Order: sequence, then C-alpha cells, then structure tokens
Amino acid sequence: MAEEYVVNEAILKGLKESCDGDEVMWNLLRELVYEVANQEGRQWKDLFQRKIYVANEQVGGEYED
Amino acid sequence: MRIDSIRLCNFRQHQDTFIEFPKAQEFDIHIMVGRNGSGKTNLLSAINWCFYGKETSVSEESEKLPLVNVISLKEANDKTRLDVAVIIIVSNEDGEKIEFKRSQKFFAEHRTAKPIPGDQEFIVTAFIRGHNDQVLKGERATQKVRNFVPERIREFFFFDGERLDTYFMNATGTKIRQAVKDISQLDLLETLERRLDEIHREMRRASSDHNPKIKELNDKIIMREQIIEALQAGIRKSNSQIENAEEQLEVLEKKLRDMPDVAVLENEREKRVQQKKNKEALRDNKIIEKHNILIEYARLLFLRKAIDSSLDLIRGKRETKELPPPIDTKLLQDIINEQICYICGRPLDEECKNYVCNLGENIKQTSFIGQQLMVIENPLHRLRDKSGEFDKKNSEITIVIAEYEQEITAHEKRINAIDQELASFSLEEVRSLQKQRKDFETIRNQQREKLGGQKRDLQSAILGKEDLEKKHKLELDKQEKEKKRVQAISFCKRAHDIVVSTNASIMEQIRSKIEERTKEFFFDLVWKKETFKNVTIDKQFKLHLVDRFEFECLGSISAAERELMALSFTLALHLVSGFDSPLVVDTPLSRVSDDNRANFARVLKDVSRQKQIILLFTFDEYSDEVQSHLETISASRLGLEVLPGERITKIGDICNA
Repeated sequence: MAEEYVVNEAILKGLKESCDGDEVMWNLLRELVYEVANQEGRQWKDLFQRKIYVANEQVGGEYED
Repeated sequence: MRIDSIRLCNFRQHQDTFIEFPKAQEFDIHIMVGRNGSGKTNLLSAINWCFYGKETSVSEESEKLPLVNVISLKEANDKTRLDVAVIIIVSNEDGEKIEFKRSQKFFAEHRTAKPIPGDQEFIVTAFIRGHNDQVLKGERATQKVRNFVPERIREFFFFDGERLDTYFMNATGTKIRQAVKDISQLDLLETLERRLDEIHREMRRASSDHNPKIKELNDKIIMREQIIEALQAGIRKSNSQIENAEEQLEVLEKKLRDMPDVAVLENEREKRVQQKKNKEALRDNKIIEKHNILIEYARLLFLRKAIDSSLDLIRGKRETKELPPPIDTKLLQDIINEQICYICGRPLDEECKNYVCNLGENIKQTSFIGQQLMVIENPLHRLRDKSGEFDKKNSEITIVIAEYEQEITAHEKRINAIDQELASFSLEEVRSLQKQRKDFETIRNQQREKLGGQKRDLQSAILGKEDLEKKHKLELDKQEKEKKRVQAISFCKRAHDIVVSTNASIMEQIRSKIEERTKEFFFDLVWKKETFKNVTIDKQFKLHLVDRFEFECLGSISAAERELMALSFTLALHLVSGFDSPLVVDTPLSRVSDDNRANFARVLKDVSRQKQIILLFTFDEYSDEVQSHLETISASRLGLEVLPGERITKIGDICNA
C-alpha cells in the first residue's frame, strides 16, 4: 500500500468511527482511500473490485473473479 | 512543517538572496520589512513559483520585465546562459528536511534585449535520517509539494493581504465549501464514494445478466438513477445560479452602496412636486379667501377708529352720567304749558318761565344728542365686534397660509437636494445597475423556488430507488448460485454508504469547527467587539456576520473589518485543515486600521505557537503598536532594501532598510 501522500487524520478517524468496529471494512476503506490519494489517473477499477471481493471473502463471502 | 530557508538566484530583483528562518523556542514568527518595490511581493511570488511553477501577485511593472534579474542580464555576454533558481528547504518536527528546487535557463539576447527562456526543472531532494538522500523528479516531486501545501489551497497559505478585502466578494458558499473540501482532503472521500458507487452498479448489472426479472428491476433502478443524477445536476445548477446571482448582487450592492436609489428618489421627487403643487393651490385659495375677507371688512376697518372713538365718547358720557339724559324734557314742556311748577306747585313767574324755557332748550339739545348716541351705541358695538371677527379670521387664515408656505419651502428644499444628489451621478449607470440588481433578485428567487421542487422530487426518486433496490435484492436472494455475488454487492454498497456518511459527518464537523474558530479569531481581532454579536457558517458554507441588533452585516462592514473577517476565516481553515504548513502573508495590514493592528499582531503571535508565520510588512504597516507585540518575540527580523537605480534587493537589518 502506497502511503506517500499524507491523508488527513480526520478522514481516517471518521472512516474508522463509521466502520463501528468492523475491522475488515475499516482496513478495506483505509487501503482504498490511500489508493485514491496516491494513484490518481491509474487503472483503479480492477484493483478496487479485487479488494472488495477479498474483503468480502474475509467476512464470509467467497471471492469470484 | 516549516520553511527553514529560501535562496533566490537571479529571480527578478533578487540576484542572490538567502534568507534563513531560524526556529525559536516559542513563537515561530518572522518579520520582513521593506518599502514598496523592495522585493517583498517577489519573495512571495518566488515561493509560489518554486512550488507550483507559477508566479502570483506580480505587479504590472514586473510583468513587463523578464523573470531573470535584469542586472545579471545586462552584465551577461550575448547568448550566455543565466539560471534562475529558487531553493526552499522545509523541515518537519522530526528534523527531516526536504529541498525544493525549481530552476529555469535563460539565454541573454542583446539584439532584442529579451532573454530566450529555456526549460524549467523541478527537483525535490528528501534528506531522511538513516536513509540515502532521495532525489525526486516529475510526479513524485509534485507529490511532495502536495504533501506540503496542495496547489489548490495554496492561496490560503501564501497570499497577498490586499486580497483579503475582496475575499468574500469572490468567495461564495460553493467556493468556500470547495476550499474546505480541498483543505481537508474531502475530495479523496468523494472520489472513493464515486468509485465505489460505480463498482456497485457494475456488480449489480453483472448479476442481472441471467435473469429477466432481475434485469428488469436493474433497468428500472438504472432509469431511476438517471433521474436522480438529472435532478442532482439540476439542483447543482440551481444552487450555482443562486450563488452566482448572490455574488452578482453583492458586487452590485457594493457599487450601489454610495449611489442614490434613483427610482426611489425620482419617485419621491415626483410625489414632492405634486404635493408642492397641491399645497400651492391650497395656499392660493387661502390668499383669495383672505383678499375677500379684506374686501368684506374694508369699510369697517376704515371706520374702526371712528367707531372706537364714538364708543369711547359714549362710555365717557356714561361715566359722567350724561347718558342717559338726567332731566325729562316732557316734564319741562308740561310746566311751561301749565305755568305751574310740578316740583313746588307754585305758578311760574316770568323769570321762572324763562329759566325753564332756557333749561328746556338746553336739555332738549343734550337729550337729542344723548338719544342719538344711545341709538348708535349698540350698532357701534356690533360693528366693533364684527371688526374683531376680522382680526380672528385674518389671523387664522394668515397662519394657514404660513403653514402652507413652510410646507412648500420644505418640498422645494427636498426637491433641490434630490436634484443635486441625482446630478452628481450618471443616472443611466445607476438605473442600469439597479435594473441588473432587480434582474438578479428575480433570478435568485425563481431558482430558490425551483430548488424547493427539485429537492422534493429528488427525495421521492431516492425513496423509489431504494424500494427497487430492496426488490432487486429479494430477487437475487432467491437465486442460490448468485449468493456470493449478492454478498459482495451488499458489502460494496455498505462500504459506499459508510464513505457517504463519513464524508457528510466530517464536512459537518469541519463546518462547525471552522465556524467556532472563525468566531473566536474575529472577536479577538476586531476592535469594536460590541458592534457584533455572532459569526455563523451555514450548511451551504456561506459566512454570516450578525450585529448586535441581530441584522446581517457582512456586506456593510468596513474594508478593514472585512479583512479581519477573511483573516479569521483563513486562520480557522488552517487550524482545522490539519496542514501545519506555514502562513506567508505579504502586506498583511495594508487595509487594517491602527485600532485593529494591535489585535492582529497579538492573534498572529498566538497562532505562531502552532505554525510558522512569515509576514512581509511595509514600514507603514510595521507601526510602533505592531512592533510592541512582535519585535521582541519574533524569531527573525529582516529588512529588504533596493538601492536607487540598482534593481537588486539586499537583505539586512530592518533599521538599515
């Protein structure tokens, strides 16, 4: 995960609070927000979809490509 | 992060300028003072050029000159290369340093006297303890700048104080909202929200491929989404038109502030002219009435003296008992006729007879006059009373005429004043501005009305979509083989909804914090604190200043107060943003009055405990009052000076500048 770009603490804190203890969701959103911050203009769709499926798998869903 | 030093080589009048900003224990505030033209603004411009490759706040005079120092250019041989460079070293709290260096080649061209510009180069070198120095170029170098101060929000960090006066004229709610988003990086969440929404739609669409019923529901959802998007676009458009109208209205209000309201004045003038005419007609009628009274009472007035003296005569005679006559003339006549005195009973002798005859003759005459006087007395009284009526009538009508005259004079004075007021302005221009104002008011009101309908429609479309999504999910749930996909779709939707709610919640928190801090700063800065009651920022991020009479007054406050408000807002944005980058302000007090300067200095001093502040003052701004607050606590104090005819800035002590 690229974390070169400094993401405002308030955003990370807000996301974490909104996830309400759901660690999988919090990890996913934290990764995605850093992806947005650092990968402007790059191919993002596949990456996002993959991360969502992987996270979903962690909470009981099954990954489908 | 803070700026440790700046080096300018051949940048405009800075042939070789090196400025260090040493960190002090408590207050990280740095003072630079110089006359106009000494290179202060070009220093600010150099900071912007170094970080973003663009100059700002360049004066008209400087714009005509090349970026490269003209003295170096003059001294250089033809075709010689000259490098313009600005190097800024910043450091963070851990002592890690980053060097930002932008340079550009120029080639002296004596034939045209204009240098030929070459390529620009931007290199960032990061010095991290325990690591090799990192030399970054291109996107990675720009990324470092974004971490320091993103370009979109640079104007809140490196700016010209004079700009503050027009801040709220140019900063509508949308712009402020955007600034808040930029400064808080909420655009990251918005992008994330958009991307998750797009993926969610794609996943939903993919799940519909094999089932006609699900496909039908999905198509309906898509249609509903299109309606929602169209409505949202409409709402954005209406909001934008409302804001544009309000922005224009503010500009027009400012222009019209010192101009007369022509329509109102002309209307008043017309009314006054008509009222004056009416009063003149009434006055003229009263004058005629007065003339008639004069004519009616003229004879009496002429006789008044005679009447008065006659009545005086009668009154005198009454007082001397001459009236009514004391002797009965009939009795005297009877005594003469009967030759007997009716008083003593004796016959009259010749002597007595003559006496009585004489007496009768005399009394006859007195009695006649007395009787005549008595006859005329009452008519004379009536005539005198009537002449008294004239006085009353004349006095009453004279008062009425004088009142009319006064009113006519007042109307005349006001009409003249209106004429004078109107004569000092171009009525066509005022009318045109007023018409524009009316047109924008109409647009704003129409759009507000439209917006209400759009919001209702949007709410209903969202509810409809949610209903369809539930049905869609129910249908999907029925399909065992789609179970995993359904879970992923729900997961994605949940992720999207979390981002949406986080975004809204952070925006509200930021709004509330900025409101609170802006209020604190403003009441700390402004001198006449009792004039104002509150500062609020509404949901649309429009700033409101309320005076002690509960009226909105942001549009009518003085330029200095407006500047203080803009500065308060900027400082609040800084503190709430999370960016600890420095604040560099050129001519921060240019429009601030003496009364407010001390407060300004005190507030900046307090802010400098948390972030670096670099202030570029003129000598006029750096008054004794300001000095008393900043001189002893500032971490560095430098003077900028340009020697006459040299066009080169020299850095030294303030007192030598």
